[in-house]
Amino acid sequence: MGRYILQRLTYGLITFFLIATFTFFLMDLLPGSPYQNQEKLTESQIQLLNDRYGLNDPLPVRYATYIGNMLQGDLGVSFRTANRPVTELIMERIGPSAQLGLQALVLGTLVGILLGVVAAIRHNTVIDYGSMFVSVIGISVPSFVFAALLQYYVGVQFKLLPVAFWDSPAHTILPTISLSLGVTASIARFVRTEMLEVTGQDYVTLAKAKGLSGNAIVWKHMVRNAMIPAITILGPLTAALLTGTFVIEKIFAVPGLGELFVTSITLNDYSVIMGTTLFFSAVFILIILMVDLLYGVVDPRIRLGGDN
Amino acid sequence: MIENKKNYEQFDQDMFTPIEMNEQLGERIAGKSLNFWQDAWLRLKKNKAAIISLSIILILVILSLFGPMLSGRDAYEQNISQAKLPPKVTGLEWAGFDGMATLGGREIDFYEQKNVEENYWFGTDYLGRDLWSRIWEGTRISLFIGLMAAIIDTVIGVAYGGISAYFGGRTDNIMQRIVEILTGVPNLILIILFILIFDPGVFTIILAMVITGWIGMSRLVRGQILKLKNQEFVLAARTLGASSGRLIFKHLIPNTLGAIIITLMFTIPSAIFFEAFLSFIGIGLQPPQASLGTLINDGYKELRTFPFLLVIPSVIIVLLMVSFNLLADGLRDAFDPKMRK
Repeated sequence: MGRYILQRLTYGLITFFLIATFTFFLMDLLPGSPYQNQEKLTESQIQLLNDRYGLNDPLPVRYATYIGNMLQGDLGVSFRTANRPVTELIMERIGPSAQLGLQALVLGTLVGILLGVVAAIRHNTVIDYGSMFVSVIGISVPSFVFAALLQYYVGVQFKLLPVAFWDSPAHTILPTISLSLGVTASIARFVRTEMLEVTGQDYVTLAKAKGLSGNAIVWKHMVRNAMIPAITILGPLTAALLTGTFVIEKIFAVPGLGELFVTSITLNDYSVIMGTTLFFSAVFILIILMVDLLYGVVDPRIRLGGDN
Repeated sequence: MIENKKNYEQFDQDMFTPIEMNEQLGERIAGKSLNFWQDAWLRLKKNKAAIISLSIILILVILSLFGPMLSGRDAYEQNISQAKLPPKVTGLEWAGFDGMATLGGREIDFYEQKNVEENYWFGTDYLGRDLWSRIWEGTRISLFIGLMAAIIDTVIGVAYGGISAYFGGRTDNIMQRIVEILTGVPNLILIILFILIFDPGVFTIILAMVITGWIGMSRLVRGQILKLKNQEFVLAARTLGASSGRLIFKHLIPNTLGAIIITLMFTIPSAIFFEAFLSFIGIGLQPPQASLGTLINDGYKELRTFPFLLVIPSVIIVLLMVSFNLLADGLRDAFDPKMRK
């Protein structure tokens, strides 16, 4: 186990280091200038600015500085937002993104489990087809299309909920629902398949034989076991949530990390792009690692470090 | 049970005559022998959802090729005097295709207001471009991106996974360590960075998606080939002196083809989604090029006054995605009935 964790951590670190390097050199190739109104600046002013931000140093020197600073948690300063340190920009935006992501994950998981369980219990009935239809739609409708339509009909047409921004819990409802759609759909499909899988298992027959009620069998025995493999899709789901936050935060004007990333791209704010990329990658790598480890803890039947 | 019994009792015993058994009859094969594909097609035909999806995909493909010709208008021709016309189809007025839109709380016939004689089936956008032609033009580009990305993913994935599994040992070890490192990369961020560096265009988007897209396919192929390569028919072929290339391409790959096709079918909608996603956040295809993503992005900007600009391309992309997903589900059941639930 310890060896496995160590091995996985090493891979994670290599991946992260590669991403950091890759991002750095890509940024060097990026077209456009990081300064506002570059046309209005004189040659010497640009020179001064470049000096100040260290953009005149040769590439290897800049790379070494960048990696060195990164290891100390310093991601440089934003070129656009009044010299704010990137780390600070990221820190103040983690809140809304994390809240949005968690809410969507919880809502999506709960609704997804419910849909999946109901579909499996009422296998091959209208209820089953209905809930599977919902989940196909959920997988197929791009989150931004769903979000835009939700925003228009619920927010603009019927004025039921706030259209945008992030001020009160009510403001979080529409973005959360939009983001959770994909989660709901994948969990529902997964849980249904797994539930059907465990239906024929001996422990279910035993539970029936000892006279447990239908509900107890379903929730105590079947769902618990059906949920174990569901942990594997947590990794892809996290990736999907990350993708989702980019557009959903843009559509609903949520001051989160996704919005920061998209804006910094349109503004050519190099250091912010690099910083957020590294941050996202670190989160992603950590979550994948945690999911893999969790899998072994939850179900002792799975031996970690398997194929060797 | 009792009902069944009743049904049986309707039949007279005399109606049945016992068949005389002989050796020839015992060896006779009653049904026509079907190969793998015919068998799969038979099963797929029984799946209504998959067949409807297949038809929808075919219709959309045909429309994306010939749709612009039907309206006779160019997808890129601007006509400011006829900008922002709502959709209007003679005979379909009841379904909302009546050329009316709400402006400042009142229903206005835009065609009357702008003195336009002809009908625009899907209306026009803010530059007066015919939305019908643009939608099909966009669908074609989206389909092309999806298909190309899926095919390139498959080629690289099959080659990588195949080589890795077939040769095994150290080759496999090194190749799998590379894959392990690559899977840690959040592909979306890589795609975005890649597109930022190179000019946004159809091929940049395809390439960007391929960078990490082939990994899933390579893992699938590796798993399948690892399972197959020690089976007897491979050993037999090897004993007969078949070369590695022949073994891989004649024996191993054809046996994993079902799984490959299923994965390919799931890749297409996800590639279409990614293109639309990139175009929606503004770093995908650039105007005036049309794709479903750019059309949705354009429509989103006009959402408050002209919802049809968002709704029509959204309906098309949803139809496309649902159909591909259902068809892929159907194919999975058809190729591997054990998987059916």
